[in-house]
Amino acid sequence: MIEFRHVAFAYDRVEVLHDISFSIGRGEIVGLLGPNGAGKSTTIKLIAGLLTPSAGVVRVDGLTLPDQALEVKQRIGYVPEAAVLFESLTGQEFLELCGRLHDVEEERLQHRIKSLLEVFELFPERDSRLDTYSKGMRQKILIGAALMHNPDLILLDEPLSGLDVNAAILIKDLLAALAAEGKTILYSSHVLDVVEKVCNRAMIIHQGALIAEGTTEELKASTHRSTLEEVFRTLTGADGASPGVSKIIAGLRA
Amino acid sequence: MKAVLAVLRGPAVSRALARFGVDPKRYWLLVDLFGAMSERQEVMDQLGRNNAAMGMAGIFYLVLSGILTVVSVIAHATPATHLAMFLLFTVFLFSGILLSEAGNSLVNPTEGMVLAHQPINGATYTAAKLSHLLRIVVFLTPALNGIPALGGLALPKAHWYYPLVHLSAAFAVTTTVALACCAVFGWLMRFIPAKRLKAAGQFAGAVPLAGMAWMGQLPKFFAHVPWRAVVPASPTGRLALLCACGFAAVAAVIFGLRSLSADYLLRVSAMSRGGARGGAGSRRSMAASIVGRLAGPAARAGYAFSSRLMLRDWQFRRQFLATAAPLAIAIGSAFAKGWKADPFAEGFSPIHFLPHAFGLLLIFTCALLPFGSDYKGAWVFRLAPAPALDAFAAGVYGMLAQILVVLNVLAAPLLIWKWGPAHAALFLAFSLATGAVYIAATMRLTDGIPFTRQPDPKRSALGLPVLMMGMVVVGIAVAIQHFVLFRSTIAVAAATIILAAAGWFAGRASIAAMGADMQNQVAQEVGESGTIYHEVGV
Repeated sequence: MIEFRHVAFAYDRVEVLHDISFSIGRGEIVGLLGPNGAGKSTTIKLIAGLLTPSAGVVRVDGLTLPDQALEVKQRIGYVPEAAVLFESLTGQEFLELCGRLHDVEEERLQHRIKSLLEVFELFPERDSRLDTYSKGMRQKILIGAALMHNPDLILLDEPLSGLDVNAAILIKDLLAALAAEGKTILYSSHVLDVVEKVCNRAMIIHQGALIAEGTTEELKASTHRSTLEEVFRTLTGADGASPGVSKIIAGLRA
Repeated sequence: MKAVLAVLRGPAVSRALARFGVDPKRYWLLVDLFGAMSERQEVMDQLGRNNAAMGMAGIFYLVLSGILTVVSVIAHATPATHLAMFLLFTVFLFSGILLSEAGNSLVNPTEGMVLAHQPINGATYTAAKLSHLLRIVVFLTPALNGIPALGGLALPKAHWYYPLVHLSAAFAVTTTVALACCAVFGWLMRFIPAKRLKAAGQFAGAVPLAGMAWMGQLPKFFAHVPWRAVVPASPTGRLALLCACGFAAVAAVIFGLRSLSADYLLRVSAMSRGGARGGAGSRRSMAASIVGRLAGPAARAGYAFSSRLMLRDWQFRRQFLATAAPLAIAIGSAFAKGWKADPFAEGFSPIHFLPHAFGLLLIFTCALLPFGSDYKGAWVFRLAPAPALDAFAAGVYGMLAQILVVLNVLAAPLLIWKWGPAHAALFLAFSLATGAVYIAATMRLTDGIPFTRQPDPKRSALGLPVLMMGMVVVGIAVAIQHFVLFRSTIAVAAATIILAAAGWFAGRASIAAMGADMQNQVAQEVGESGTIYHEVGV
């Protein structure tokens, strides 16, 4: 479903992704892990057709990016890391806009919106403007908007950000159910235990390079660690107690 | 109206749109979206004017064009002169409005970020944006040209069909200006890196206003152009040159519009990463230290916050550049003409305008200070204790005072050299004292916490009338300076002391008022935020 071959990407001549190659098959849920600034969001944006690689090939469902970006965008659902919305629209209006932009037939669209709003417990607030929504409510709207056209590929960049425990559990179950339906999901997150529980496979990006890839069991075995968090700390060089903590405490005492 | 809308959204128009690569369904979705967002005042001043703002601007243009029409009729202008005058006026006014609106509308990273991953092609998006801009043309063209078109019937030798000719020409001109303005941004997007687009858009928006301020110099400029070397002598050659220029202009507009419809959304959304990543490092400011020592850490915070955001906030810079560009030219012009002529001399010296030009600059600064791009960061102030907000206001005063001092210090060397230290010092002291009064008066315009509100298009619509009234007041003040004060050094010294004292006391009152305004804003926002907590059931 997704093919990344020797992809590099640079912002203002500063290369932030270096020669990354991987592929993701249909129906897989793949976790994308990495510290802040590692290149996770950039990777997702490249797949969504929002950025153009400076080298290499990106293909989604056999379509080459950026040449066939419009066709790719028809097939993907994308939850961006920043919850940017048109805040003067209501929740209902925003979902309608996204569905209609994807040519969802009107009756089906209204049915989907109603189901999503009810499941996300947003139905009573459907006619409130998005600027009155809390962070978690906005996140639910973004997730709903990404699913509105029933896409084959779902790209999630920190989707659980701001969600309460119940909503987070709901999203995890939803992802598993979507994967069972044959959807492909690329899930970027800092929350390692969610990735461990939900994803078939994980990829760890560090300083713009893909440093590990495999099932969580494979990653644990190859690094001789018992949890994904330990694997992550080992591979990203954050092993042991963080020296930053003692610096902060010393600064507060000064 | 419904019938017109039905035709517009019917199959014939859809087929025509599709021929240009525009997806009709998504086009209308976007047109409706932009209309709804403008009416609901989302990201105000960025998505076209809402009907209220356009209504106010329309009324102002009606009055202005009515006065000019009366002048034209009384002066017995020929229909051709009348038409040419209004078309020229329309071009200047609309290029200012539309370049700014096109910039606000087209270079909008927030919108790009929401829509970039949606299946919308560039042609569809650009067509929807152009349609949204054409609302301004459709609304304001008759407002500015309706009365002159009808009034043209009262001109000598005017035909009965003159109003039709006038309005058709006006619509043709404004539509061309609108397309050209969009094309300018197409060129910018094609050739300017994404991270520089915002700044480039701001400068482009300021160009027409600067051009208007520079219009007085046009005859001199044209007098120096070697026309004989540039323009061919034969009529055929001239026609060929005219055709070549016309062809180049049309090609430039088409290329610009095509550039917009290429990877437009991606480039706009990429702007959100652009900006001051480099070169915006925190610098220790001596002025900030002085403000901190005089009025405490909260005042230093106020100084640092307002002075840094003045340089970095997109909304502030965009609006300030548009207003400051003509004013900067006016200041430069007053200084260039007046610095040699001593204000105490017999003849009139344009330097008398200088203190007021600085004052007007402070008025614009204060009027724009409440509005910013990151207004959602206002929550920070909810946590600040109330006395800290009073001191914060003092810091803002310090920043404004610094602008005034710097401007006067920059002028000082030339004035001392030309007039001698005594007259220069007295004039600069008078200028500083006048500036202090301006600061005290204009700080009241900063209604609340700086940079914490969305821009209000209604305020920008009021800008021109307020400026014209301000010019009248300045004219009176300059007359008093020339005819009364600058006849004796004692009178100027006395006036300076009185103005300085008034500025000092009024400044203290303004700082207190601003502190109170800020506290009110915080209290109001805390009250309003309660509604959110009710909605999520906490």
